[in-house]
Amino acid sequence: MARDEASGLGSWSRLTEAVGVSLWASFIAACLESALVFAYLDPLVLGFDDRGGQSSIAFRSMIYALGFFMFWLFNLGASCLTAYMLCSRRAEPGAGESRGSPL
Amino acid sequence: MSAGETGGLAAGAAPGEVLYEAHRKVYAREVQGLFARLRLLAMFVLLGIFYGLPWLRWGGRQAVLFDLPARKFFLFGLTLFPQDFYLLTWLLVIAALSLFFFTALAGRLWCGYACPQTVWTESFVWMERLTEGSRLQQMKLDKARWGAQKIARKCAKQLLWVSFALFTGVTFVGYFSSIEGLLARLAGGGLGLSFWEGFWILFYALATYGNAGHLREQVCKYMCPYARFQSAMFDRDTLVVSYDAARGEPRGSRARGTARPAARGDCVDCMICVQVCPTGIDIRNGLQYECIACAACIDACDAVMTKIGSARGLVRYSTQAEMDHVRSRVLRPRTAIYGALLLTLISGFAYAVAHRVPFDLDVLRDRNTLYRELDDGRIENVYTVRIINKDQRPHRFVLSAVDLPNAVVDGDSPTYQVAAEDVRSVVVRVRIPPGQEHGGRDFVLQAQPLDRPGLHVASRARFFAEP
Repeated sequence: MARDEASGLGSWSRLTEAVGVSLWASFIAACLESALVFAYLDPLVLGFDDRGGQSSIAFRSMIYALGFFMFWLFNLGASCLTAYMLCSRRAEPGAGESRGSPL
Repeated sequence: MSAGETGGLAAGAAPGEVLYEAHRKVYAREVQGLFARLRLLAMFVLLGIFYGLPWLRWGGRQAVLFDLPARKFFLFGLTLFPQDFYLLTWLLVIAALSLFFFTALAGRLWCGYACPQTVWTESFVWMERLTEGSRLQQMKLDKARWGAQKIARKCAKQLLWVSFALFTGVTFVGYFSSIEGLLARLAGGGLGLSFWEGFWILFYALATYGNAGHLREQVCKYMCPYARFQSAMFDRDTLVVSYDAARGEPRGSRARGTARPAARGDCVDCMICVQVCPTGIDIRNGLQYECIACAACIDACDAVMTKIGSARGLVRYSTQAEMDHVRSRVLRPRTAIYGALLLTLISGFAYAVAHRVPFDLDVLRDRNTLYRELDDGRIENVYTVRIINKDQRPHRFVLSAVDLPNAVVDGDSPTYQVAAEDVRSVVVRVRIPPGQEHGGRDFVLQAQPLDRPGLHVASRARFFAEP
């Protein structure tokens, strides 16, 4: 960060960085999870008797998309929680971190 | 860390205190030279592939189409089914290992020339220069008050950016849904577009616009894990962009055409290497994780060195070893191991694709009954069998049971025709004579294409009889 100051550049806040990194990492993980899960699971065998009048193509597209966003959301929750736990720990007095100031 | 930088997660910040400094935009100065030309070439080739590939035809259909709704991937002559997922995983492992190999060899080649983030950012920066002018003109425009000219230039830029992002979104969805059909539906006012097609076009367009137009180097600096892992792949013989401090320091300006004072180094501290840097760093501070090795600073410094009559290469592609006056080695344990692994994986992949059996078989037991005793005392189990024909020709199959003596496989017909690249589900009854088996027993159901006697596919199943 000192380098950013030296070159006159602004920097992201810890919060922006934590959310940004969480978003990105959970996105990549969600892509892999969707690929893995839907390679072996055909949404049509999920056992929904009522597909709301959708064709199998539309139904699969919907389940893929919803599945992907579900994975992303869950991963994002875990990532953000991890980031929060790691960062908020430094706020404790006497945490003994040399880099110092509380968040 | 200063108080101004501490941020958001904010335990202990005073109310109203400014928690962090806002991000300041990097205005990268345009640069010309060998590496700029190479980057431009890479950009044209890669974007050309991305935007052109969906239009390529192969055997009467789109050459590359990941038809997710139909659960089939078409890759030129190859048709992949979900059962071939391991091939895609294999490809991903090859891609990751190639990244390690080339990083160990030549540093962040990927970041500087091939990463989508770099390539699309370059094209968005190009559109920005087209509408808002050079680095100085852009800075002036951003500081200027809103007037007709500023509005016109900003609108033109946004129009170009949004159109290009939407075009990118359509092309991206064109990899998953036939691009010709997609464009025809769009040309018809977009009403024929399915909800999810429209959604993913907008989603990808927004991601492109945000990442290439606004986030840019921040993605590399804050979000990219590769940048943080690089030290694990780098060693003293890795090619990196380096500033020759021994030659450049002590830096200092001097008038054009004057000879270098004896106490001064070659660096004239013109700051152009900083101005051209897309991530806004100063390469003279040494190797930094923000450096994407785009080599813009090399081109910039070479131009200045030529102008003042000094030798080029004050900033250059070099290795730590070379900077320390030790010979660099290309062949070393790290590159040899990565290279050997990569070669093995690629040959294995080629073998697996070449010798892939174009059929597959899934067997599912009937969930309702474990077994049934027929009137004549024979024991019957019912299975749903899915015969998958990945070949581009239809085939006729005969089913048989192996490892289950005296078993008879009885279906609707003696053989089953499966169309090209199709899956057929059939219900079969497997029967054995009374008293032969007790409890459960594993056996193998086998499908044999009649026209390919040497080939067969098999799947293990379980047969149940009375205990």
